Amino acid sequence: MTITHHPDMSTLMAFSAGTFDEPYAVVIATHLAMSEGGRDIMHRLNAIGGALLDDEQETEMSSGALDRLLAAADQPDLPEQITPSSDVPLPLAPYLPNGLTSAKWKWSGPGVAICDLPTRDESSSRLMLLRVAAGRPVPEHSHGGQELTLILSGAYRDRFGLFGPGDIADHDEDVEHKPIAEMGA
Amino acid sequence: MKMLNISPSLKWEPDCICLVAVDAPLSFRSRLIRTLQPLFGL
Repeated sequence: MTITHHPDMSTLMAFSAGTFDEPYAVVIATHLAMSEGGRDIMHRLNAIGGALLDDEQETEMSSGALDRLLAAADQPDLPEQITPSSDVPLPLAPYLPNGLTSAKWKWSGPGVAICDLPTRDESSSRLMLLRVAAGRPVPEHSHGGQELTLILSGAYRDRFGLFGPGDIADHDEDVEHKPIAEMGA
Repeated sequence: MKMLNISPSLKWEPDCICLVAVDAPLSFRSRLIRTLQPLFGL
């Protein structure tokens, strides 16, 4: 898998710092599961973050902070009842326990379907799957801020180039584009 | 020439599947709706 479109560095830094809402964190974690180069960059950013923390002045922790940290570290990455499907990367498995075949698609226009993936946090951001038939354009749409789009399968092309599996489009609200799903990708 | 395989069940094959995060509800508005809106003063 050759990945040519990566997240913006500020996006990776936000993920490293743990400041993203759940939907964004899931997209970046899934991208990193598909991108060895992305994981390498993330290791470096985590090291930089660690070095910055080392330079901070020591301060008193709230009571029970260590116990909460150790309890969180003991939590399994995946609930026991989830067996990762072979057709979705591991970070996506809790949201699609039986893989892409279990996605509940809703018609959203000719050749376009959406599957909302419920998240646990209460942010206004939204996580979803978008499915576009080959040769069809993604409909023009609006959104209030950053939009992360990770290709899981197939490909699309827009004015920024060709996006295949593992590639990510990291756009803010000012970017206008009209991706068209590739034929035979 | 590559031919599209369109089955009777209208299964989209091949297609593109993306994982998307947006920070507000994504709203699709069709060209028809955008054309009609001004006519109805919306």
